[in-house]
Amino acid sequence: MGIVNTVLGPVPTEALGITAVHEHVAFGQHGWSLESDFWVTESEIIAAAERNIREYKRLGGRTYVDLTAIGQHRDVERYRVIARTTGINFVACTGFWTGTGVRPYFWDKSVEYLTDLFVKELTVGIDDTNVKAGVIKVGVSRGGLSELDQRIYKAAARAAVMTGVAVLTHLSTEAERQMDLFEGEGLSLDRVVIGHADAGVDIDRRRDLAVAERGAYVGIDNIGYETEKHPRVPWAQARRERLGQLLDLLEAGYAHRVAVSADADCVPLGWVSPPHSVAELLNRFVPDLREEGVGEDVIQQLLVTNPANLLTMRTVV
Amino acid sequence: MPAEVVVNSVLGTDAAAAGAVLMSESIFAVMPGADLVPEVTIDRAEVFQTLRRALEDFRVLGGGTIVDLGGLTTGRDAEQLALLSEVTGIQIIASTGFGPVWTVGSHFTNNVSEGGMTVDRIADIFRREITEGLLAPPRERTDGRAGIVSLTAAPDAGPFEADVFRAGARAAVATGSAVSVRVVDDAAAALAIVEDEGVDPGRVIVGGLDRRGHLEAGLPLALAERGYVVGLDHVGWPEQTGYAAADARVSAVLDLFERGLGDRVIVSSSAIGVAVELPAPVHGDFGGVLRDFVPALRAAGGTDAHVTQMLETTPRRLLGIADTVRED
Repeated sequence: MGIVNTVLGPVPTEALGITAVHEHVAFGQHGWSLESDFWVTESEIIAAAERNIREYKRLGGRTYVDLTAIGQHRDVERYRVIARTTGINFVACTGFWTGTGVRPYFWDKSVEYLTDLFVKELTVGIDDTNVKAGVIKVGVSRGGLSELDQRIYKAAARAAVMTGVAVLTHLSTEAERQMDLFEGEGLSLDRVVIGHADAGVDIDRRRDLAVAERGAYVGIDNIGYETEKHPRVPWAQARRERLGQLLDLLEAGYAHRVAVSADADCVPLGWVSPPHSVAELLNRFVPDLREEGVGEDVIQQLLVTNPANLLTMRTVV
Repeated sequence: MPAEVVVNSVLGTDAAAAGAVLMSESIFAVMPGADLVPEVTIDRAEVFQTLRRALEDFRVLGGGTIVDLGGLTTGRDAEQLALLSEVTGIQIIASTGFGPVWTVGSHFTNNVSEGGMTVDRIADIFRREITEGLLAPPRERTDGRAGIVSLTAAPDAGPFEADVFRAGARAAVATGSAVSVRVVDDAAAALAIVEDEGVDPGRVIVGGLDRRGHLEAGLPLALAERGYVVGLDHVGWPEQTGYAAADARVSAVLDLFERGLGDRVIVSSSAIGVAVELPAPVHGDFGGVLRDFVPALRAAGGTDAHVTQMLETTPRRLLGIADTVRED
């Protein structure tokens, strides 16, 4: 069927299996490490990732996509260690979280510059390694798409067209505008996840249907950030509410337009997460789906088929 | 025996070094994010040799100590500073604090934690750099300690800058450290915060006052009369950058001495030893004060006493740790 870039090199699509498309080993906003009480050793980060990813794998998980972007403590050398010690297919990303997290060096950079940077990371390697990114991350700043966000979106779309990879977004705010930006650069929306549709700060079920209708994937990818957990983060949503949001999409016939993930940090850097792990996708979310009567074919669609369609690099003409 | 002044340096708590002190410099600075891209290479060995030569040149001219006002957000490397100090014999005083707000990461400006980022959390970072050690994030603290709080006012900075100033002032009050406030435009808002937090103006250096407009408006004199230490700290910057001509700076210094305010002025270059991809050009060098300014001051009637006051006595008073000054 095709190939996917992992941190240990390309793998065939058939190897992907159950996939979590939006995860983080360790995400931190720049400056977190100046608060020394948050420091954590590299061995602790790797141990936490091993714990969570091994549990995920024991439950059937095979592929883990880390969407920690440029400048957010992304570390592909660490990812290679984790990939080797867990046996998971580990996919890293290029791109940026949101304009909010972009360091000043990039603020005045052109769409062409940003495109070249993403393509370099997708085709040559990230940092000074030959580890190639497998997807592109972009996102919406607090308050809406900034001018910088929009430059990044355009660059991501161009790089995706040139290399055949998918783009995943942080936040569904201004979803229509996000999709316009991608399409404006020639990127087909079936290569796009409009992410965090289930973030509690920004729920809009009619928007979700509109995103699926236009042909992009709706990211139900904050699974496990629940208002029932402590501490409560601003993007949490009640467990039943999230399930209802997803069931709406399934009932409308859009099982093939949903991307599910947990967005869990193995080690949050500089912030405090409620207890959370990628394993919840399989030991909490899937049982919830079954309890709601969702069939195994649909579960397979959400966990295996959709991610495979997304991650498989399209042939570039 | 005179009192031995004890200072916090990048090597720990030391006796003040002999020789001239430059109060407003930066050893090494990187545009935040330039460390993340393939087109920028930072060759550590080459950087080290360049800085080593600059510090040795300063030493040959009679220099003893350089204060690095880079703070935490412009690329400071505490271990690099310690090595440079060991190798060259130049005493380096590191600052804690933040550079202009645009250099500060979104952990601070877009914090997602319950209660958000607070003045006290930021003050705690600064205070602990002074009392516990310089950060080599995210690993460890070095043996060095911050010797001064560095704050930079930028135009249109917004409310977060006020929080940073308040935090810096609190850290200074808690530790007895001096505060360096660098301003481009109006200093009043920044100084109002520092005063409101109870910092003694005699422990505050206001840098950037040798902008032509500030000199013409008499701002250095006005602030010195209020007890502040005035930083005429752009020796070597060409006039087209907005700073005063060399002779105007000399006249301003002599004027302050004539008015009995000679213990409230320092002279420095605001140079950066190695600057990587910074958005605006940086001028001056660590040699400028001793090589160019001091001879010009003498030629205009300045004395050895003036020079000693500005380059040694006043800096040592500012850098000295009040509660550990020992009478031998």
